[in-house]
Amino acid sequence: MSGGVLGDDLEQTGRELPKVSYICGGCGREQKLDKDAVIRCMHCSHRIFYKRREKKLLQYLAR
Amino acid sequence: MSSSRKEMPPPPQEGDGNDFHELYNEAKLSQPIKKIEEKWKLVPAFLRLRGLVKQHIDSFNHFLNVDIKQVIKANELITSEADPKFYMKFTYISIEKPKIEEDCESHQLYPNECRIRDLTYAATITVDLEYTKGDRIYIKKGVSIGRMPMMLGASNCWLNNMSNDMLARNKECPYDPRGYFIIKGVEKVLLIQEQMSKNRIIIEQDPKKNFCAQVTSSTYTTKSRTTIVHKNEKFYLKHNTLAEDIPIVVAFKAMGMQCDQEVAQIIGTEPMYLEGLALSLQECSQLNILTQSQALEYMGSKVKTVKAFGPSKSKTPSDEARDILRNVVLAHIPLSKHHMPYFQKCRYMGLMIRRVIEAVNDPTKLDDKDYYGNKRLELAGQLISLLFEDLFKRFQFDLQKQIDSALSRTGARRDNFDAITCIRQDTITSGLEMAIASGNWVLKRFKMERIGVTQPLSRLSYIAAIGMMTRINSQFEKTRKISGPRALQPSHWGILCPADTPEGESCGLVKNLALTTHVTTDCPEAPLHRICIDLGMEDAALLGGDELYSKEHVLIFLNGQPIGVHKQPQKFVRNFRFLRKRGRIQEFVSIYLNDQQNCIYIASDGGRLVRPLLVVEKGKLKLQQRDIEDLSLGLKDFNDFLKEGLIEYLDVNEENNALIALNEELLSREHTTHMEIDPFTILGCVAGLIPYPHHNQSPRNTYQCAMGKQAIGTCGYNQLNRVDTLLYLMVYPQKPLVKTRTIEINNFEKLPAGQNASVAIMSYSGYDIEDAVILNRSSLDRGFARALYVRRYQADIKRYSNGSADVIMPATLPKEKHRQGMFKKFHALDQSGVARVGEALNSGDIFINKYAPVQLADAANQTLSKPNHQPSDNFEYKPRPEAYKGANPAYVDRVIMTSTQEDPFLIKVITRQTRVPEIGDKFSSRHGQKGVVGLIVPQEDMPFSERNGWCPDLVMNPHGFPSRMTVGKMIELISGKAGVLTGACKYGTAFSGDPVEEMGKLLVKNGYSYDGKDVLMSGISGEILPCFVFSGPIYYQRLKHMVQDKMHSRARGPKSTLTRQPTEGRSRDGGLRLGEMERDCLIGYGAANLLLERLMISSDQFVVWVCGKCGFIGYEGMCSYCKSGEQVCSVKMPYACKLLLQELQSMNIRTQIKLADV
Repeated sequence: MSGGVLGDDLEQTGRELPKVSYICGGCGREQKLDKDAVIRCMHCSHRIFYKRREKKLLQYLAR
Repeated sequence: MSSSRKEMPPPPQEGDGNDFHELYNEAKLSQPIKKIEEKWKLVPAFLRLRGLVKQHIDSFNHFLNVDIKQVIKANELITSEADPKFYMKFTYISIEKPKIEEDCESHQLYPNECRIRDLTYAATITVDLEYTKGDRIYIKKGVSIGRMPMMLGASNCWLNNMSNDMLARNKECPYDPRGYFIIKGVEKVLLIQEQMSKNRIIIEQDPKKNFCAQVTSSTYTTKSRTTIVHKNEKFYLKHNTLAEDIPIVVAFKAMGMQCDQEVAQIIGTEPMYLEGLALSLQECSQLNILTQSQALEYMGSKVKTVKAFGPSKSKTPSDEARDILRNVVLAHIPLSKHHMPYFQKCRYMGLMIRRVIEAVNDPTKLDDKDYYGNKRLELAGQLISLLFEDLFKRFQFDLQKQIDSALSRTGARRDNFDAITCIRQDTITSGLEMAIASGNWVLKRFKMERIGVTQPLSRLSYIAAIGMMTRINSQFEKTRKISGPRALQPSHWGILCPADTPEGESCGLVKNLALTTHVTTDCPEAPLHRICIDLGMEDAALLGGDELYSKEHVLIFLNGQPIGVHKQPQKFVRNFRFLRKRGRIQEFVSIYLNDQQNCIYIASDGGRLVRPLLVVEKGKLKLQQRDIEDLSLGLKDFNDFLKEGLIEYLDVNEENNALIALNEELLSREHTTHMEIDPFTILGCVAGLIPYPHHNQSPRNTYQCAMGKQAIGTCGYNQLNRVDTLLYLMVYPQKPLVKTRTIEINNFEKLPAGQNASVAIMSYSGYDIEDAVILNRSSLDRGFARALYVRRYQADIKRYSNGSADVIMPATLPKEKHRQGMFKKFHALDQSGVARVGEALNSGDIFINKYAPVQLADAANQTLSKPNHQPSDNFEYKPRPEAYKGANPAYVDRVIMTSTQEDPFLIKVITRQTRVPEIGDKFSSRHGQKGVVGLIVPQEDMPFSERNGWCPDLVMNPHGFPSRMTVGKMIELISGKAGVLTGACKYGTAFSGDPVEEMGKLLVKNGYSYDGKDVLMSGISGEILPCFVFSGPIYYQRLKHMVQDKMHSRARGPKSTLTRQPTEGRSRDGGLRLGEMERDCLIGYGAANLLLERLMISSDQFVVWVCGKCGFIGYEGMCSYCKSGEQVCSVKMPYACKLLLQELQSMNIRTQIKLADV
């Protein structure tokens, strides 16, 4: 990927896609964070968010 | 810690066979001579009170609650030159608990939030002010002047006195040592600094072998070193501010002594001292200095002319000399208010001269610089106090400047001027933060410039963290080849760990505290002085030299200053100690009688090392068995014992007045005053992990101390919530089968780092030579030594001044111009552009898909012409992704999003790898016996016991024993085996652990051989092995060095741009260097072509065109110097050589190449 003009394309696709939801480190409630949103919980104003574990099926190779 | 367990071997003559003691003391017959069982329980009681790193916390608390107030008091007033009526006074200072204000709301700040969000754990400093505004005096309370980084566990920290439940809720580990700071999310430790004690006379020889007395004076305002040298039979005063040494009698005269008799009397009139002084007196009269003004003039002419900044207030030389005598020379000695202001300084100088004369006549009286009683430890509190004072002065200076400029204005603006508006908070905040973050302590006032005062706290394992908190750094240069400061001294006994020191250049300079050592904090002198007078001391102010030094008195010093004399030294000391035992004097104040110098020294200064000892009276311990029982029942604690006088703290100097018995057997000796609580306390908490260390060769214990810090284990109960850059964790840690008291005390059992491996000590397969070990494959499958490797990556979104910002984008869609193969590296990303939690990352996979803006040329012009134009559409974005590197896959463990004031958007991605041991991984037992895995063998090929199916996890080659002499390891095996068979942990405590004989008996009782050897069958042939095999459990640690992080090879790869040679280092996929010494070998052998191939052809071969005429480098077929191409030839040479030639040429150095036919 050698620095093509990505800006416009990417931003458009980015806006269409659904937001990813995060868990607030303070109150444990789920919140959808926008890309440009301030990182701050609406309920408890905590500023640490954890990404939820993926629901998609993930396969691992166990040793 | 069951109370029924016996820790010591039974004394050899217990019960009725008491004849041994009868010989000594009849009174002993009436008392039971039984040992006090489990008196080691005092150690955990002590540590419960003090904590493992209490010295740091105590010191910082002292700063927060006492010292900082004195700093403010010393600098309380600001006045203005512009307005004489104006003043501002700091009346009170306090420090709040850590809070943070964001978006106009403040909330409590806990350490874990700081770690995750890269914040500083700091609390606001508030002051109460009294100042004038216009004609009125205002009082303002609670004005913030900055933020103070808060030590975890200090009195103003939230974690102080927090219950375990609350700690867990705040994601803290209850066993965390605390005592460190968190600066921008990084845990920083202020290492303990070792120094010579301040304000004490040290008699030593200077490099020219002249005897001299040296004093480093240190007060709140100045720091200076005064020396009195004995040179050519004469005495001189030497000081930094004086260009030349001043004859001492001149200095005396300058300080107002009038005649030679006075000088002689203040030093002492015994013939020895008079003789020693005669030449000095003579020199002064030869210089024809008879009056004070003459002397001052003479001194003034020798003052170093330091061009001070600002307009010098044209002082006369004698004024300058007077200033120096008043403020700099012996700055710690106060001036008296009445006549003879310098009398105390004269007396102190006289004392110094006395001591030099004594040393000249008897060189044994020289002080030992390495003696630990002459050392003081500087802890976090003192270091921060120095820094804070410096910053506070700077803060005041800035404030004053602003006030001056505001007040020099006229009119209403001046009258309405409110000085509070000038207060700037960031001088102190950023000053403290920067110093702790970088470790550079630069104090211009004290000419102090120290680097490396702080270090990031190592979280490799719990022990590494604790080991770091007890570390002592000394100021000596590492490079100097001197043995004195590195050697282990007798005065280190009980206060410094004899085993725990690094190998190599800093060996012996970096030390560690022993288990029960405590470092004192300052304690006020005035009450002590009062007590001394009450105890019958005659005040020194009333006495002359003759009385001070008379043989009938002893001279009493308080923190290095002579304060008086006493006629009955023994009684005085006894009374003083009695008062201390009663709690009338702080328990850490020390007093000792120096018979040689006929002096009593009382010390109450901070930084001394003290340790608790059991008090012995009349050959009996004051501590009784029932006290210990009360202790175990929780009815009493260590403080009660202190109050009852059963235990006493002694510092290094006072130990010289004590006869300390090692154990009960030695108690009956006469004059015994104290007894050790338990000998194992001489070791530190890292060396305390070693079982049976007293059976090992001593360097092995030192090696283990270094390796114990690299062992993979647990680093705290909150380890899975931590966000360190790198964390090694063990999947199934076990507590050791053979433990020590120290292990129980420092909670190693709860946060262990290692596993009890079944070990067979035998040779197997030849893959076990040179300390390699053989591992059992099935053991690995069962989880033996399995470790987690947790790593943090982070990215932030930067906003640029032109209005653009980084963006994080989801993976580009496949319909776009990219091929499927290109798309693969985005597989872990979700819609937010950050990897999903749980995804596997392979090498090259992107987990934070970040793009940074690059401004286009026309856009730049646009923004230049129209500054307020919205430029965001005109940015081209360049990919700046975070991609995973590494041969083995890692899994995304956590993704954390957060923000700080500086970074509104911060992403931390934590990846995790599970690492099963493989060939080349490093292991070690607790006896400095390290080795790498040489071979992993299927269990069916391992030797086994036919009796019970026992099979080793690990095979170790017996050749590791004879030269290393780690007998402790063998005993650990036997004790461990006995422990397994009886279902109990055994003790390998230093100097007292379970004896081997008993362990052997236990083995026999369970049907095994007493010597720990077993009959094993060969796993390969099924035959009985021809020898018995020494086998049993040994606690093994997996060390952090793993092949996976180190293995590296390269055929072709990147080259560095400048030299075109292969890059260096594994991280850059570098080449394997054929170095100088390897080159020497090839030269010696004569392998010319190989040399050429390695050093040029396979590296940086380059063809240059050299002109045969002028010898310069030209172009193909053309020499630009000769302007002809006649003799230009092509030459192959390393690119680095061509570069050198050109660089020389650019420096106007001509380099010529002469061409010849070969």
